Amino acid sequence: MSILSLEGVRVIDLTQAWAGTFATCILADMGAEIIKIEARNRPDMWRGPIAPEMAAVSPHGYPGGEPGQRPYNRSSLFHGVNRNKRGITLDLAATEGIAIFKELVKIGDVVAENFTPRVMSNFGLDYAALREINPAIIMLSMPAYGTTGPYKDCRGVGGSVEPMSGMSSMMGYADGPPMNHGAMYPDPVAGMMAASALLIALYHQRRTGVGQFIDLSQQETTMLMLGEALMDYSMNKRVRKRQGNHHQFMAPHQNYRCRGEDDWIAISVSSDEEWRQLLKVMGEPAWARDEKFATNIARLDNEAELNRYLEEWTINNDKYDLMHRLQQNGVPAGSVLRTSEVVDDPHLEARGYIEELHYDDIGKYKTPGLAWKMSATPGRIWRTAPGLGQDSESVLTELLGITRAEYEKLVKNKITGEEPIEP
Amino acid sequence: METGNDNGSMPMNVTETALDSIEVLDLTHYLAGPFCTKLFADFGADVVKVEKPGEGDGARRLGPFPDDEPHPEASGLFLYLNTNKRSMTLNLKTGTGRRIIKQLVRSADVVVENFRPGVMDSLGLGWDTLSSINPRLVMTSISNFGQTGPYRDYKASDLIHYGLSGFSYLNGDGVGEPLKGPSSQSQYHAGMLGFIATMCAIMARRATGEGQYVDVSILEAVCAIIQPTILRAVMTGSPSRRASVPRAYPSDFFQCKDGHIYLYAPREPDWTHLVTALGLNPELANDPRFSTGHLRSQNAGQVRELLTPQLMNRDRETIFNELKDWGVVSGMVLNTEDLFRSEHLNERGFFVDVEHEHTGKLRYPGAPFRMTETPWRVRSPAPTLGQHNYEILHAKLGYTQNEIVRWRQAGII
Repeated sequence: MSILSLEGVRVIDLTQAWAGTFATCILADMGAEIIKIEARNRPDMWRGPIAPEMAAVSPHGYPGGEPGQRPYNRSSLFHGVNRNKRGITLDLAATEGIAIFKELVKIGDVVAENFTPRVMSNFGLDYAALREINPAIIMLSMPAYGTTGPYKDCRGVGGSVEPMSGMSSMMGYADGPPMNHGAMYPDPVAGMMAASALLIALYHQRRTGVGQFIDLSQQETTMLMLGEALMDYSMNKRVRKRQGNHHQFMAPHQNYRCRGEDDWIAISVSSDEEWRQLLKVMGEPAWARDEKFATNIARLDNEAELNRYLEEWTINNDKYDLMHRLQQNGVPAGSVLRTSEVVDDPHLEARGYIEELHYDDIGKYKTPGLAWKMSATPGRIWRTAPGLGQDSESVLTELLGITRAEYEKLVKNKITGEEPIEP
Repeated sequence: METGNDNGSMPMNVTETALDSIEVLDLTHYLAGPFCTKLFADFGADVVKVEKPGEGDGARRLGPFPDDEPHPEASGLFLYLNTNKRSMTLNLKTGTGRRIIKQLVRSADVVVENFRPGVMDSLGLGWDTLSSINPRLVMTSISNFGQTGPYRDYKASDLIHYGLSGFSYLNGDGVGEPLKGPSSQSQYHAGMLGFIATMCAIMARRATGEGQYVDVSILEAVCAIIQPTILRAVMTGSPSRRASVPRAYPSDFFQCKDGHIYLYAPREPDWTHLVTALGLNPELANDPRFSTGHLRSQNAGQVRELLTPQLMNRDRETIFNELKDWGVVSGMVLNTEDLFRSEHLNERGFFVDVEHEHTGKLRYPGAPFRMTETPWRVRSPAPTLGQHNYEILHAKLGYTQNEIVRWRQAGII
């Protein structure tokens, strides 16, 4: 019996960078066949530069810091969201490329793209055109601000959409400027929501044979993560401000320094019972007997002083050791891990969330795997991200009946192939 | 068909929903679980929300409230998350309560719960029991750390999820403490992932005829959100520590006349266009201190000195529009007031009016995405506590008025 819930679903994937690629990666992890299409002269921007000298100063993250001969197949960011996909190249600026694309649409369930709005129309591949080819096709467009409205042609990146969503106005230190998350946050949020949208459309399509067009705005998706703040304005015309890690109802609620250069622990106390347990672990310090810390309201009023006292204690402790001691005594606490430490966490390893994968031309690395456990159709990682154009021949010959000779000719004419072309 | 459902409200002739054949028995509370079941409800599924008699879902106590006056029927978080759902009250610790759940499970497609691991089993409502009643059932459990593993019984909060996932480490200025995001982002991530995995199980069932058990961990959901960032840290051996100045510059916030704006011009031709758009001498773009994104990062202070005067005499909208004409990416820092007033969002019809018996009409955030055939829709506002008890217990399950009255007296509903 198949372990793949989305077996038989085929996605023609034009997405790039992070947002759309994460959506199709989730579907790929669940067993859908993702045919990722790139251009030889404009590969997915998350592959990074083609030339090794340019790659050396790019942020795409090469294993051991080494771009290697083919840095575009070694970008760690690219590997992070493109596993389980089949990768082909097609020149969509050429009539032959468009013709092949349309043949793929005929046998596809979904066309996914996150270009700026005019791109697909310029190719003659808007939803109306795709629907002519395949009435059951589902098309997903996910530009920064949606496909309608005054900002529809505005380019955006995660870092620019985050402030436009309201998120940045509420993120940062209490007396400081607005901030973004340290990763381009709206991208994966939109990606997760886009996967949800595709599943709704696929379920409908399987039952009725009817496809449809989906417009997803990264700005709007990110706004939905701020529901309470929006409702507060709607109800009370109140604008929420930045407050660092302060919580409206909980104190202590902060990241405290631990032993080490940049090691911290998160402690958040939500009841008097948890407060008493915290004091027990701390050895019943004298300062805590003060009225100032006796109730939750008092602790909120005296939060700055409370945090100072707490940090004087945490700074002498190891962040992991302290987390376990506190949790074993019923106090919510969690180490603030470096992104590199997450794959070594014993809980995530025991969960089977961390998988050690072999990457071609790279080697073996622990990898964040499948973020769900399903008893019948858990999904799996069957391969790491494709090299540029790696599956062009197999996809075109297997799925479209193109002969080997015809394929060689297409490569010669630069319609497809595995070698990048300088733009 | 045109893509422009420009006013966001439902066109008169499209009443179809995608998920109306799906019945969800919703035992969730607070945020993650309810956000998962909101996605079901808003796209047409029949979601029956089971709440504790008397108190209901804890989100009813969290607010925000109109004029800050707490009322269990006026909590902004609850109202937002529970559109389109029906509410019944049921005490799951009673024999009757559990019997009713089992009856509802017989016809349900999905059960979603977000209790601490072990609670459902202790109630006699675990996966083994429910699946034997209904082999087609998909049961989804959302919990802090999952149903297994050494941290299974650990307590958590959004701050802790941000910490253990490696996300906090990326946020902040590198001087002060690492930061979590606003509100409770991790809860939303888990809600979305719960929805995704449940829908995949429903898709699988079309082929197999059988249901399955879905176990979603909030911690893993947050890790998934930054999955490529984690892999980069592992492969490069470098953990991407938060920094006050980004490596390619500018990709940062700047003050302007009426607030702040995020400027993104780490590469050419954007940097030259930015300099020109702000009325500065384009030659400055070629100054050796500023000639690459990397160099600009190293000389960030000087870049700021250069740009700030030109930004301080322009408002956000002017800068945004001028840069847009040059094809340079920027983002205005908008607060919630700005968002409600946004011409773009209003033309798209993003906000919807929802009428509720306790709050009257309020504007809510609307559709997560637009679908041409099966659009998002608010058919009914969030339910009042136990609003549908009679409808479900009598009309659906056949219990008599007498029984229902007795149960209410006994605190069973």
